[in-house]
Amino acid sequence: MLAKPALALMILLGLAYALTPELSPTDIRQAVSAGEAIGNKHQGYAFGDYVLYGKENGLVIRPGQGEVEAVILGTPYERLRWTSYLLTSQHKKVTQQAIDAEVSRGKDRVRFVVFAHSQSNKDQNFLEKFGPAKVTGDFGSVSVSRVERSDPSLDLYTVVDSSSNRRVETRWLGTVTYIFDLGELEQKANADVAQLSGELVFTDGTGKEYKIPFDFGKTR
Amino acid sequence: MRLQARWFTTCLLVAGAGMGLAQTTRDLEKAETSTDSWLMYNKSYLGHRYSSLDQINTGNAKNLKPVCTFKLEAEGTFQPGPVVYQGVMYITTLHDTIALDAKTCKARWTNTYKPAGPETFNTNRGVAIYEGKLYRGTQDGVLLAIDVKTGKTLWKKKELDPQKGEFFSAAPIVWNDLVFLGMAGADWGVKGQMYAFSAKDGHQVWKFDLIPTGSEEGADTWKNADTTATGGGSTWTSYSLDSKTGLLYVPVGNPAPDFSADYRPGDNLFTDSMVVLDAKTGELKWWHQLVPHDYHDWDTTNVALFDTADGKKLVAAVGKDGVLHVLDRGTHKLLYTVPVTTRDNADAPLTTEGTHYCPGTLGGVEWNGPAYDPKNNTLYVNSVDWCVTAVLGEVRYIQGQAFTGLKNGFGDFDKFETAHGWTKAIDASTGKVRWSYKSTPMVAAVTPTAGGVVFTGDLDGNFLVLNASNGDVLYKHNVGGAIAGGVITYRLGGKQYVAVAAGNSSRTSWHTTGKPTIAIFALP
Repeated sequence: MLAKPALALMILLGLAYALTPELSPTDIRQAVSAGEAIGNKHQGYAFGDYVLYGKENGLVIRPGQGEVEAVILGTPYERLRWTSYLLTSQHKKVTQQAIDAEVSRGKDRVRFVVFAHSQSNKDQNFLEKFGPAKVTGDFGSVSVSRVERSDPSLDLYTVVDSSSNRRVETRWLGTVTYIFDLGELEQKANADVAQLSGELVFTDGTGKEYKIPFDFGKTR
Repeated sequence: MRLQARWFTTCLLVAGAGMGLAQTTRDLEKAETSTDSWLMYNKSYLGHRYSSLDQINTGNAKNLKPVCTFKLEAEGTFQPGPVVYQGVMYITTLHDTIALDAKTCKARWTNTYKPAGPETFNTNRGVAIYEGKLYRGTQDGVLLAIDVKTGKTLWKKKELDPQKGEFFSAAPIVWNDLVFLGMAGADWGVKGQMYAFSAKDGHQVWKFDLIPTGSEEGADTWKNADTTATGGGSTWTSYSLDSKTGLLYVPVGNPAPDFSADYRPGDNLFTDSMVVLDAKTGELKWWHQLVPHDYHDWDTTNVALFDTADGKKLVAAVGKDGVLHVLDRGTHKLLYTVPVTTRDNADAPLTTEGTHYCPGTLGGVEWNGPAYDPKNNTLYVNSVDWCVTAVLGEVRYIQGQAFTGLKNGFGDFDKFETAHGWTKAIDASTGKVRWSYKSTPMVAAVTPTAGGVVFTGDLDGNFLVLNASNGDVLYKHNVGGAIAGGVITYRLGGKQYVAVAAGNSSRTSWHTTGKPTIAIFALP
């Protein structure tokens, strides 16, 4: 067991929470436990350091902001924590079956979860218009291996127009998840993927390009 | 002596002018017992709707005949509680305020409001009458004062910000020069407030935060104070007032977001509550929350005050959760609760597989509330029995956090063919259900009378006269469109009339049809 000063130093140096491609039994236990703790509070799910990009005010849409509200780094640890939270918040048990399924799904993969809204309340298919993604860095470029899209939901936003007029309007919202193969990344980088950094590059439905920096070495 | 004579003459002139102008607070305080008029949405300040008219009774109700109908060309929602004064009926639509003869349905005048700002919704539930003026709110947050005689707009004052989703849809009440009307728009994420405006010029006299913050009472029930900014808590139905104590009773709607309860941890006062305020100052006196930390969109919709024969001063509060709450107005003690519609899976968490529960989002008691019959000490309540399946799926990012919401809007309603409704008669002292009348969804107002009958209507368009003692149908007449508004009674020229607001409730939500119509009935 690490002494507290040493652990603090490692956190400061960013060494304690590098990305883990394959979760150990301890990682699994801790991720499940952390998700249960968040879920039992019934106060939402705090992403913490996994937020790569996030709008300051997720309730308001301002001119020229594009469709993206946030980009989350979904490491195998974070996604298992999320799964545990989601089940707990519904008063469900986090079963071994659910844990195994998520561990298997996350193994050797990293997921970038993009939260987005449509430009109008008529564009229910806006998630389909998101372009392909790649990660780039000193190692070059690796294309996304799979893209998953959530079902869109309708919700309310305060929309501010170019004349600063505000209006409460409905917009479709949902997530696009870009999944990358860590093995492929490691091969390309020829380095330990746990400390890899670079940029996620993709376009939203309007064609606006996003370049989101990431550093696998800063999160677990 | 001469001075006294002049003073007496002046008094007579003022009194005469007062009669022409109509409705002082003193007159309105007699609304409970007046029979030649129907002076506010729920008849009187107490709001229990009972009429002492008995010309139409259990023996002759079967002989009722339609007298006349007044049809509007508009196809919007039509849910007003008509007001009748000196033989003239006043009704509202989204933009129109209309005066018509209460015996012949002949139109007198129409006042059409042209909105100056965005309109959030499409409903208005009626006017208040006071000293020669009609008062109503609009969807762009304006309070209008209209001349009772001519229909001309006397003044209009912008009170709310429609750009934030704020609007008026309730029927106001007026007392001692104060117009009471609150903000609607919880489903659009407003931060609800209740207001008293000056009846003279519309300026705001006081406001009360229905979503408390800072040092306000109840602020600690919002564990994440940031979420109060969009906390909901609107008022979209009418109000009751105890003029003897000067206390205003306000039903308060759901918290927002409607289904993302984790976003707003805590009991979320004063949502889904009955709030009691000093009518003169807006000071909070007491409250009762019907549904703490709501995640079903179960607004508190109505509050009716009534005094029982044995001297108890009680208050009945209901909402979309489908439970009648009766409390003592003096001790504030909850005396009993009784379900007035099917409640199923009401405490189950929302899940990604879908949670089926009753009442659904359009279930329970909607915008018309309980009525009290002092003759048999009975409360009558209409309700909707319609369930919904809510599917958790939406995940929304807000300031570093994810919150779950409904994937399917306000839920997937059970097939409309399975929806039905009730009129329940409940012993006002014990809460025991005396009888239940089952029908299609029941949204209309309920009016019991001294004739031993209960006037109401259903969404199939049937005007109904029920026997107050057992719920038997004494008279049924289809008026051609859903009945979802006021059902009132008054006597003119020695004859008792019943007027029903029928037509469209909501084509999308309630699948209703028919043009907005006022139908008037009487004995031959």
